[in-house]
Amino acid sequence: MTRKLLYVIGFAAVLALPQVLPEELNWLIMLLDRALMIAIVAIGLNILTGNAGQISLGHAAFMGFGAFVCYGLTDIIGVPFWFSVPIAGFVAAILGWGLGFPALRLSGHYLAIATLGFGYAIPQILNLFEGWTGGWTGVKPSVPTLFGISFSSDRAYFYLILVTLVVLVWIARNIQRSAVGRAFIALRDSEVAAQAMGISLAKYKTMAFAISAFYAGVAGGLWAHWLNYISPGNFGFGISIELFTIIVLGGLGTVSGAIVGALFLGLLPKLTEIISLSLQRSGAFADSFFMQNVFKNSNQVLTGVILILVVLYLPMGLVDLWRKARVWWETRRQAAGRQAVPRGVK
Amino acid sequence: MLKLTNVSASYGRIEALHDISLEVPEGKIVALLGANGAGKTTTLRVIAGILHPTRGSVTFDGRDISRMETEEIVPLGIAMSPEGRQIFTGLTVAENLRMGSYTRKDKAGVERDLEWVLSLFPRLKERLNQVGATLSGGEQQMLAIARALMARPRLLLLDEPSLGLAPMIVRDIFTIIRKVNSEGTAVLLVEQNANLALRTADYAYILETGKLAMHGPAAELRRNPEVKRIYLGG
Amino acid sequence: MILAQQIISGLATGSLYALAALGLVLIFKTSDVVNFAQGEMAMFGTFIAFTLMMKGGVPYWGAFVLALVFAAVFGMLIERIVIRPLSTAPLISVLIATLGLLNIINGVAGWIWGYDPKPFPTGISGAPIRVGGLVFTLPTLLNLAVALVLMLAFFALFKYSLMGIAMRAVAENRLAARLVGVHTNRVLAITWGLGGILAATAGILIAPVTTLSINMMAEMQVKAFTAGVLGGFTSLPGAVVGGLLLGVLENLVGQFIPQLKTPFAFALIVLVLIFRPAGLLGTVQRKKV
Repeated sequence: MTRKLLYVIGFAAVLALPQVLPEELNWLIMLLDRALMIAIVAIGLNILTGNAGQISLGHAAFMGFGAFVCYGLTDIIGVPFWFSVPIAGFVAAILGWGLGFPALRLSGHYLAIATLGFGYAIPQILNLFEGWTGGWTGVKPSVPTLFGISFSSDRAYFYLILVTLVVLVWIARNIQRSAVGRAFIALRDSEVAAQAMGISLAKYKTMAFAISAFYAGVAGGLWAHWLNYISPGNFGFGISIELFTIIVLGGLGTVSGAIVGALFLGLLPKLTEIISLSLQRSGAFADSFFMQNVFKNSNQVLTGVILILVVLYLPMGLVDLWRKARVWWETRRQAAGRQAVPRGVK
Repeated sequence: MLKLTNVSASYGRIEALHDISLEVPEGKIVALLGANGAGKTTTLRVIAGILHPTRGSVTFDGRDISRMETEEIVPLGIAMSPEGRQIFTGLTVAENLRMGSYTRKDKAGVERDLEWVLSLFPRLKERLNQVGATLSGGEQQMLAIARALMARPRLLLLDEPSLGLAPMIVRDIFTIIRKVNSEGTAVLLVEQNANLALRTADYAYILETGKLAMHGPAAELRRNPEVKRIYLGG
Repeated sequence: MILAQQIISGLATGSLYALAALGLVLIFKTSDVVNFAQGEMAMFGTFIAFTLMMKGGVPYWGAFVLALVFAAVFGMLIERIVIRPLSTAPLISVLIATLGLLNIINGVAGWIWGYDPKPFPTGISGAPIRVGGLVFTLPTLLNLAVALVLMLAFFALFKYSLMGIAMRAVAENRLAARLVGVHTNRVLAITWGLGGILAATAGILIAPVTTLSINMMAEMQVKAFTAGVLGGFTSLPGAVVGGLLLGVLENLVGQFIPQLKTPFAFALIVLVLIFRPAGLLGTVQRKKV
């Protein structure tokens, strides 16, 4: 009973957050917006990699593709934003489904390399369509409005992202629990065994790619009209790696892991920024070329270290750490409980 | 020559061997029998250094090898044809055999042994430049044994050489095993085919769920009614 | 004649791709790991050479050799600290680890050397050689020569030398290799040491063209992957052939359909992997069920 109550309170707090947060913490809302949109992509990627076992190192490409499709629909063709976003998702899903076919013949290393190439190819190809994507200079998607309310502020957009996230989480959880989800896991664990059980590799591999691309496309559409500036070069290897780090750090195969990972990695740069700013202000390392460079770019090394530490010591991710902590807590509680019962009482 | 004394071994928390003692004298063929899961392969793994015993000791020529790594044990004179053959499928027969003699420095000796091994296994000689993956099951088993022999071991460990092979090929292989033994190599033979093993070996040990159930001269065990009932099909 | 010159120019770029691909393919062939950090290792080794030359006053070839030594040790350390503990982990873990290394090496390089590009000297200077109507620049010839020599050297190593056969054996079946007495850990260390050497060689020869900066290998890496895929990821001669072929094709595409030049390599990866995953000279790896 208390757990449900906690969830309700937590949810209410999340809903209230944009309203109560003071002006000085505007950056927090912005970071949360960004992190939650990335979380949406991560949830999709997690279904592909964590559940279905298909490695994808170029997933930012789907996000970028979705972003431009959404922009094109909304600002070039004139479709209302509220339709553009899901349509962008579906168009991205078609692209994902298309990538699923070559992926049928590949696995492991070769799939990783192929998706890497794909991740580089798509932005380059998008670049060629300057009329649509603006080439290297990019384009400026508009701010969405609903019943006269303009979603130009990060706080307002927060609700938009939240609603999308909740819906997509619900869908993801249902996929995981369904026959499709089980087929994905069979696929991940042993392609040969799955085939022997009558699971069509073609059907489920392409489906996994399509679903994950849908998520990325939707997030891309939201992103485009949040940032109000996109260019093909924005959706490159850096974001793909970030996504990959998130699902590994959070816990492969879990939806909550994707969200936890996204929040962690989204807020980490702020933490390092605060630390380096305070160090810089103290003037301690003003003369050091090395330290000045460290201040400029500590996230990359941190992300790398995190990746390696997770893989070596915490392969099941942060959610597993949480689970272990709870189990430890529970066993201690039970042990204490047993001691508290007086002798003679059953 | 080889002596296991009160050896116990585990996979993680599961104990696979409990208090096993056995001996392989110089130049003899010793069989290790038992049902699936009795611990026969585990015993070989402990001897070869793939698994370290939790208790007890393994000595070879009086030297304690219980804590040594596989790659250090092999040069001492022990070679194994493992479970599942484990040949190098991407390498040619010739290259597989070359790898068998990896630890040896005497070029002339290696050349001689190559000829000897190829005379034992004429089929391999025909397929010298073929890649391991193209060999049949029986040929792969022969290659695995041949590869082990290229190390000129004093003790040959054989894990289920008859598994999955046609009876005629099995017969050939066992003839070769006897031949090799007649030239002085001791053999520790793990086999599910108890009949064949007891006809080939001098001495035998029978394992049951990780413990030593019975042991004795092979001829005696063959006549033993218990053994006959359980392992030789009555 | 213009076509022939385009081809030569393609070979020039192609030999750089080949050099970058060699290390990748070597490590994949012998330790079954796709080293995503290979490019960063190349960059780091090149910076070491640069520092030796500029701050240490070491002449070019001396700095080259010392950088190779550094790179070999670097490679061996990476194998020992990051790769070896993951030898029993699933494939995805090692992949992630090399991605992590990519980030770390790139980031630390930025900390040490900053973010401004610097010019890097070539090993050979002098007037280009003219044969018929064709022009061959000296660096081009050097790069081609190095690529071809390395290709032959590794081909010989793997086919004829015991260490080469042992490396292939270790790559295939570590247990069986141990059973014949191979010190698999040592072999793997040597493999990664060689991989490091190849990386630094590639970096030092590529830097004059791309200028030396922490991101110099970014695009080159993908070309290296394409070259490896094209030639067959299990074949070192394949890496060289793939690289040269890629360079030439890319140049020709650039000549006739300029807009497609940039995405060409990337699209090629996907196409080759669909239709001929083993590449031109590689072998299809059969999976054990």
